[in-house]
Amino acid sequence: MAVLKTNNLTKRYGHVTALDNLNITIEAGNVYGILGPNGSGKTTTLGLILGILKPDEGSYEWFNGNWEQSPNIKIGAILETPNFFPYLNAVDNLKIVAKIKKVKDPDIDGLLKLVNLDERKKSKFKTYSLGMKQRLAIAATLINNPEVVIFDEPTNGLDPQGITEVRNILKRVADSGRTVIMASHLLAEVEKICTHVAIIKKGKLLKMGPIGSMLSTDKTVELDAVDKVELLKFIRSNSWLKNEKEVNGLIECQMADTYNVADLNKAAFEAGVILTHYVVRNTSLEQEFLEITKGAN
Amino acid sequence: MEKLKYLLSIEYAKFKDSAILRLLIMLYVFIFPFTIFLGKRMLPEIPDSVPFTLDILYEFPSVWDYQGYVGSWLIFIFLGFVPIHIICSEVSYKTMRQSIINGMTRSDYFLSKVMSLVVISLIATVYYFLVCSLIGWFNTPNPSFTKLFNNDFAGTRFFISCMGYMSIALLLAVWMKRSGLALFSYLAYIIAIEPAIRWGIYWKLAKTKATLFFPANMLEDVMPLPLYRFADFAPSDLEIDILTEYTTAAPVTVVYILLMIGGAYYLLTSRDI
Repeated sequence: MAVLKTNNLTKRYGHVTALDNLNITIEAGNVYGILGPNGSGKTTTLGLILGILKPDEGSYEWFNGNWEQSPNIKIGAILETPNFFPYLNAVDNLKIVAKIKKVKDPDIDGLLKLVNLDERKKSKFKTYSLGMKQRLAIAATLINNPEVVIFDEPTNGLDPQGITEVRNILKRVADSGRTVIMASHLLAEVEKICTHVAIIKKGKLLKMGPIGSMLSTDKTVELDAVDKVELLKFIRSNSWLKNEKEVNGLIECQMADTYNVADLNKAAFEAGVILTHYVVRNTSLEQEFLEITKGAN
Repeated sequence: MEKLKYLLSIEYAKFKDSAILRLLIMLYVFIFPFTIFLGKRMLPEIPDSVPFTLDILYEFPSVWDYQGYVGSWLIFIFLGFVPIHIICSEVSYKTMRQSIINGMTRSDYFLSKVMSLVVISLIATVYYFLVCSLIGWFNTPNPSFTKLFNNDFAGTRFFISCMGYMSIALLLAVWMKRSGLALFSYLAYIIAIEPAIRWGIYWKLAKTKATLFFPANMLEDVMPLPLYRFADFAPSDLEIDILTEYTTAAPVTVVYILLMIGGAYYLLTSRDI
């Protein structure tokens, strides 16, 4: 079942088109990562679907139009920064969120425990570190057990400890079966948590789908040989090896997934190339992302 | 009614601990009753031809005029900042956008602000009524309920005055979004800009009574200068009567209030947050 459908969603700021005819469908229970360089339109997309930005063209529909008052009641979201009243403590701030979402008996203590803020629950929001603010925002998103959770750069500006804490909470949320939409720069994180990704650049959707289908099945091979010139000749003469480039004094290339290291070693030896180093790894989301966005320049 | 209670409870939860809001309301509450003692010092001497003294300020029905006039200035200064604070602080804390993200509709968000202003105006009006009743009761010879309620709808006019100042501030707050800018515009418009435009039109373009029908001027005439009934004693170069009767000023102000609230609603619901 689709929880969100956008139809040619477009947003312009003056002459700049921040989002250009975005058409996406997000299915229930999936964990979506929205990827894109800075200024690609990720936050604009989230702002539009959360109703705080007005689209210039197009439309979107949550839950097939099946909601009362506002679809956002069924959604928990953080956009850009954690937004709370600085002079109120964590409990009072969460009570406001609960009131807006019409939650009668919110389990505020339980939520604060979940995000490790129970010891500071009576401290004013303005006294919190950025990591604590972010964790309080995550608690606020979960207050009414929402069907959909949206995070925009949830680990931005955090120190390594804060990133680890937030990442652990995000994993728990993603594992809970909710639909999650997460915009992030941290591709390794998206790769670990998300089931689907959408890649946006300059307001255009470049690619979208399950994360497995997004990643190339080719392997990346890191090679070195006694004679590097012969090694390059060997790579170029074999169609199952491609995209060779020199990285840190080593030769890196893609190897078709039907071949393995033994095939490579044997073929190189038969061609008179003595390999002195080889490492094989699967293509990462980061490499794929760079490849896709490079092509869109 | 349930919805209004729900919206007001959200506003109360948001601002019950706001130091700025507390200060503004406390200043109004403490200063308002004591302004009566300033009356004799601040007002000009009454001409000998007038058969009473400034003690009349303490008596019915003049106490309604004096406290109403001073009260409307206090509303302008203190309570007028309330809508600027409750809108602009939410813009700067980004809690306005978070309220929408959390599930409030823009209309409900706006309604919660307007309802807060209505409640504050009602409380300020009840306070005005109590203070005037007490001062008047203990200073009027042979006080009676007939004398107490013979006040030219002072309570209603005071409420309109409260809503008038706060709706100007509300429109500017929603429009400008930044508290400093909205506050400056609010003060500048009422104190300088509108009077300059009115007098500019009057002296340079046309000596027309239409210049009286500007929003802030109408608003001031809802609670006019005390002893205005004797303004005819004062010499004037003006060819028009600069005071508009409250029977005209009050309904015109209500129309302005509706226009300003409508304008603020349009801005809040049509722009990005």
